[in-house]
Amino acid sequence: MPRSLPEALSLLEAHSPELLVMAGGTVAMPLINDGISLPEAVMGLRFAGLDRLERSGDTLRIGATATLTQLLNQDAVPMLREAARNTAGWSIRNMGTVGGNLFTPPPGGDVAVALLALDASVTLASTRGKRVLPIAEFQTGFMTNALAPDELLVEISVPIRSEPTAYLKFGRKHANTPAVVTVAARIEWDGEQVAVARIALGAVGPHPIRARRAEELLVGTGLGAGAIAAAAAAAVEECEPFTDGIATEWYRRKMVGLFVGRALEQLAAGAAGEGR
Amino acid sequence: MSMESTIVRFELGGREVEVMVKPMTTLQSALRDHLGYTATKEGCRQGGCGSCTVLVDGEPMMSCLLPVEDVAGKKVTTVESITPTEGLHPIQRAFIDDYAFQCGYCTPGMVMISKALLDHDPAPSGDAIREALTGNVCRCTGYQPIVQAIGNAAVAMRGSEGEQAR
Amino acid sequence: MNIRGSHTLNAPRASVFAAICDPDVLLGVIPGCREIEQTGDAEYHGLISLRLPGIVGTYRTIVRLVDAEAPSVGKLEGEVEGSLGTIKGLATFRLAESGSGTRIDYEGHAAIGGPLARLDGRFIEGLAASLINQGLRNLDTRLQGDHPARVATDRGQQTRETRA
Repeated sequence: MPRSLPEALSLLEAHSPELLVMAGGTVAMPLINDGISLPEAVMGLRFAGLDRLERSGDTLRIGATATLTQLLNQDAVPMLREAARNTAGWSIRNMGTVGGNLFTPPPGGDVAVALLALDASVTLASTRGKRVLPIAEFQTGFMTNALAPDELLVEISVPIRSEPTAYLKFGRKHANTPAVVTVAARIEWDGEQVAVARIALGAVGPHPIRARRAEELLVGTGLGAGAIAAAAAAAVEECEPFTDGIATEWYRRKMVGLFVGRALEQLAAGAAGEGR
Repeated sequence: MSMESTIVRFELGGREVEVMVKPMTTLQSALRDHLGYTATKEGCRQGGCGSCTVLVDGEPMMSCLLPVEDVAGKKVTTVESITPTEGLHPIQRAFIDDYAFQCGYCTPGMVMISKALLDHDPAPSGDAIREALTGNVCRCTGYQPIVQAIGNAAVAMRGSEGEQAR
Repeated sequence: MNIRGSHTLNAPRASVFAAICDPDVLLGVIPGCREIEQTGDAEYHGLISLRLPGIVGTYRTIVRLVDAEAPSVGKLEGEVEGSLGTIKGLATFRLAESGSGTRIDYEGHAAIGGPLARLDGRFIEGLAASLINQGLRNLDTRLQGDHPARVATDRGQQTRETRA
């Protein structure tokens, strides 16, 4: 259990690829407890000093092992508070980490959906140095990501903005539930027109995805009913839902249309996103 | 990292304890199998049911997902820790009075999350109670008696001056 | 578990066929595969190292060419085993000319045993599809004779080919 980042990185370099990296344990321990993952060596990052969450100018810097509870208790980025509130229950939030939410099994974590809509960046570190990636380039496919075998995710940076955001998670239960669909959306206005639109979708792909065609359709509009309907329809087309024990592909696709519409309507009404 | 056992020391119910365990032994296993503290239950080993809930430095956690090395030097609280030598803790009393358990399997987890809640918020609303319980599953009671018991425990704990609420 | 898919490679059909029917080449393009050793006529053993979120393991793998009809059809048998369980599968592939390149259509089914069988089949299928796609991209690069670094810029995906 390394006590610093340099120590963690040299352990990783020495033992990769046999080393299982763990932070909160909420992804790795169930697999270990079930006998599915049988690592020969495990590195726990709990004491490596990567858990600071702090505001730095107009950026929220989140250490990779900051817990979801820490995210819930910050007020710099309301959408992240809402995402944390919609993820798991109290005990798991005390253990699970923000960085770890980028490594949850497909379809991915619900905090990751918010990070995608917020245009966060991730800092990856190795003994060779550090590099920063836009979060949209981090998750690359089914259980694959941009980490090199000797790299660790160490920080997530989120721009702090003042405009309202919308975050809606629809699950089969009111809380502590996997998502049927999660929608995170925000708009940057230029006067009365949409200048920038971000719509991130969860549970309808191998990882959280941006509904880019829907976003393009909103730019330059006044976010009226017609634009919203067109964007929702585009999101329905471009998402990649699947059938599992939670919901069918058909139902997920329908719910994308419904909840993208609701999120955009919330933004149009100017209210900050709340609830389901 | 080898598979050799290590000694882990932590505080349990006010005393320092020590276990010798293989790496990646969970706190749940250390409590139940090594220390004989069987109040903490083993339900899913996935962090989904909450029957393994304990407090670590006052914060609720799933002991089935915690390697015991992670609590070295910390303060762990279980049902055994809060049971007085005579009588019952107000939360335990309230669970009995309000029929807040049937099979009893979720109960230790429910008691520990209640303790955490009332330590953080001595006068929680019904919504706050339900929000706190979202990580704990019960198949028997339908939850309403549990919510009621916690509300009543909160009143009892606020009202009692002479009794030390631990 | 069933998987099927197709891919287009920028190489003539004859060279694609020769490459796929050579288990040495095949194992060499699977991500994380190393220590490839020939153990029989058209049979090779190798080790695949997987590093996934929460799942780390090294699997022994065997690939055998069991049938081939140059230059268009072939059948491969494969086995993967390790501490996480076993996968035994059979795949058929068909090659067709596509412009100056080759289109490969593959179809396979596999039986999963051991602790792996407890996972949702979707994970194993998705993982297998992901490894196969990456392997085919690696094969494409290799057949074109380009430097492997080119592959790393393909949609930001990192590919490591290691051979012991």
